[in-house]
Amino acid sequence: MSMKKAKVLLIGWDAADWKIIWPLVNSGQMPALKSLMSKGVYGNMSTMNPPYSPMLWSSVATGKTPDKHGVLGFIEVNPDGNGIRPVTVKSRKSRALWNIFHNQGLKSNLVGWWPSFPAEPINGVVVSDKFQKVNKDPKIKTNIAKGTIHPDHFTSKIRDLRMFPHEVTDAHILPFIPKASEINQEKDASLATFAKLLAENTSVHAAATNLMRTTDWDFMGVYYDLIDHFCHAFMKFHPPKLAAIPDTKYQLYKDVIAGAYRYQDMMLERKLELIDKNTTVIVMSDHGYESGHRRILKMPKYPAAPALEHRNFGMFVAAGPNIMKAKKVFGLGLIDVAPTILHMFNLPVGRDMDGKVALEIFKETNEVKYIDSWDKIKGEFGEHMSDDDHLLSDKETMQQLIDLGYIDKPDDNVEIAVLKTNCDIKHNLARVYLGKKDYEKAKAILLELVDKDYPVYKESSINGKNKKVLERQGFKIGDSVVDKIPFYMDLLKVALSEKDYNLSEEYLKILRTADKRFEINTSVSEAKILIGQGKVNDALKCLEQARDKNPNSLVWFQIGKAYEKINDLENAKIAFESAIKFETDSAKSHSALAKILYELKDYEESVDHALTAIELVKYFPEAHYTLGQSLEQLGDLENAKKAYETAASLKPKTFYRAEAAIENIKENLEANNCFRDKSEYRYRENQIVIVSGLPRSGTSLMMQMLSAGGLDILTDKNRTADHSNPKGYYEYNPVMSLHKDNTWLGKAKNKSLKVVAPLLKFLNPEYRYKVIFMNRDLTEVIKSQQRMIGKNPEVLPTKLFQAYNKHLKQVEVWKNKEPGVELIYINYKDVIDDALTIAHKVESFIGLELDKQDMMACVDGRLYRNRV
Amino acid sequence: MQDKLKNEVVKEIVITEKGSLGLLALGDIGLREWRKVKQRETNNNVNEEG
Repeated sequence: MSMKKAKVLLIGWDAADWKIIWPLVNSGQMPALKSLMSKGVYGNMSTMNPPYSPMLWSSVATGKTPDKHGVLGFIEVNPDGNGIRPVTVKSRKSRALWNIFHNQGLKSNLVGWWPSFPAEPINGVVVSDKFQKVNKDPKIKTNIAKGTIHPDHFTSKIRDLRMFPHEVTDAHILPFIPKASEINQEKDASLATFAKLLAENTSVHAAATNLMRTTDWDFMGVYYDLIDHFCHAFMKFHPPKLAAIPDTKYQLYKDVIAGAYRYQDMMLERKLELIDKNTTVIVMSDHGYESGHRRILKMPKYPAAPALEHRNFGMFVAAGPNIMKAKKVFGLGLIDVAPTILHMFNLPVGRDMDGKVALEIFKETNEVKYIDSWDKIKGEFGEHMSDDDHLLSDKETMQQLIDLGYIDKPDDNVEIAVLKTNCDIKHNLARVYLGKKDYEKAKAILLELVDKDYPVYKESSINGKNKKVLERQGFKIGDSVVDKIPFYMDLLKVALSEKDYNLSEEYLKILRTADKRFEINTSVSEAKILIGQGKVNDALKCLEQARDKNPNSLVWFQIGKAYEKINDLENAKIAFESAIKFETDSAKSHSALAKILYELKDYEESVDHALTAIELVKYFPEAHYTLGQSLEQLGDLENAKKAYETAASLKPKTFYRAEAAIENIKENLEANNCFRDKSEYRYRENQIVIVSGLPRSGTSLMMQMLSAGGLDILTDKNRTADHSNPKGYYEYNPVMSLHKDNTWLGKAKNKSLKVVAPLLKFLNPEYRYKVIFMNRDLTEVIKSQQRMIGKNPEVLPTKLFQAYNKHLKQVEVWKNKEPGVELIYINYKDVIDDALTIAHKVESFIGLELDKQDMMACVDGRLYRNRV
Repeated sequence: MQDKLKNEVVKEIVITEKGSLGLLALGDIGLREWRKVKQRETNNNVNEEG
């Protein structure tokens, strides 16, 4: 690893989703990404709410949530308040990675980042997100506006690298749309959309490859909106076919989405050709995209409705000289990217950043360095100094956002357009606070938004230029220009989170009496209120109706919660399992199911689901807590303690239950050093006497003693005596595969059999067992084993030590759980020191008379060689 | 009309007037070389017509 020579290439694939990627990677259609994955790490990337790309990519660049970095939507109000424009870099209040690198004397290139216009004057080259936006009409010349590229003089070098939609040929179209010639372009604008998106992303790629080839750089960020924008236009045609899609359209466009991923991979391949071996490459998306049955064909008309199709998990792949190889990583969030990249350059992370360094991706880890805040450091950061904003209005970009459905067509009335934009920005900020569970701040903004009196639409507006748009949105004369329904929906969420059910009921009433055009599904909220008010049966009725009408993950989850409330665990389990069937990567459903499985004493399954929840969302204290509970029951106290500690550390307020559990488990861990016998001390008919323990803990000696005492031994004598066990091993070969076949155990009735500790759990419960468990100081056990296999007995492998400790604890749990098992612990040292007492104890345990003198004669103190 | 492009990574790519996705994926070099071919083709057509 060489921190000094580190170079980082960060590639953004907006909306890339593993659900589409995996089949393509597995069928060899994304070879470049596959090669990166095999060389590096890969995993999910959690998104944030609201999942709007300019907000999310600004979080990637700053390591901060949008309330701190200030980018709060697709559009912003001009500083003089006289109009609106696509969001610019001027909205960002916090320094991005490239500003920090500028301050540290490193060179950065940035291409297409959303938002990056106007280009910041950093050390390096910025080709802002305005570069690729050209007029679709070939007759109208699109100049490269001032501020598009930094430094200005670089513009002449890459001016020709913009591709225009009219340049797109059938050679470009056919790999995506093989039957493109059948499209009636007068009625279907899809090809024009396709050409525009392909041209724009090709321009970004051409600029990026040029900078990669012709400039020196330490950090480079390249952002493509290809996949996201193609998904908005063509996902409805992606297989499997949706019933509402006509077959002719499906046949035409079904390959477009896969084509977009393949093209993105081809562009990745080229970039990988242009880097050196010191470069770490990150490919990531900001959110996923629904591709199955949850695709929405008819978007509800409230702001940024298309983001409803954004899935909670995007993708992350990283490979480089200090990145782990072929490893899946868990729990990454967008805010972790900037701190992780700073760490790659050995630079300190701001304590005011919300994300953390993803240390688990590195082969070698240095200690993370911190400073209070990069934003408070004085000096040159390559930021804009002037407030010169006149160049920022951008009709083309606004039109694209409208075409994509991200924003409504702004009102002709500038004042109304500005008012609506300000409301959207405030609402988005409230949603950020909601996501951070800062209900007080969210509530304050939402209440301000609903308490305000807004102007209403007059006849002149409704019948003006925007007539069609306003009609489609359902606005009538006299309607408020700002719709309050989305604000009330979030107020309802806050009230439910704060368990204020009376207030929740009030908000629900307001929503239900409001304009019906939103068709809001309120049954889940109603059920939450009813459950909160203790009317669980009413809640179940309401939910079951909703389920029968439109079964989905949310409804099933709430049904599970209702059953849990009335302690009907079996039905709760079925409901959570159904929720998972509808949405396999719902962390909260996995966590809820884990909790129920714990209650049902199915600890292993509970651990599985708690771990799945944590894999999906690392910051999930409840899931860690349930994991701890189930691990504790399985006897894995060390890991249970870790899980409880994680739960306690993640909860913003004190997690009292986790704290108490940690205290208990510490006591248990201490108490666990004294193993407890479980025995009735009487003979059981057809009992099987098992001698067990860790290898080299004196099991062969005990077998020998039992044999000498007169008990039949089940052994095949395949393993002969040697220096380590001069008196023989007394083993029986089928024991080795006990985990596969335990049907032969009947042969051991009334006999004695040697079974190593990890295999005890596979004993057939058909029989009664008397287990003599040999205990020996673990250090002695491991030393003896090391010596036996020719290794240095003074070197003690810690992991082995921990694993053995775990086995011993599991035996203790297993013994207590199994009704047919009795077990006594015998210390090897006690056998050596006082064989007679031990012989008496064993005789009493087995319930048969043994020849104790012959048993004693087996003990040869000289063989006790690894004493500590 | 065809041309051959040798990029820096020892690949040989056949360039036609219609171009290809592979050429676009090559980035700046691919785009420029394709436009050269298109331009030459246009010039040839003009010459032939003239």
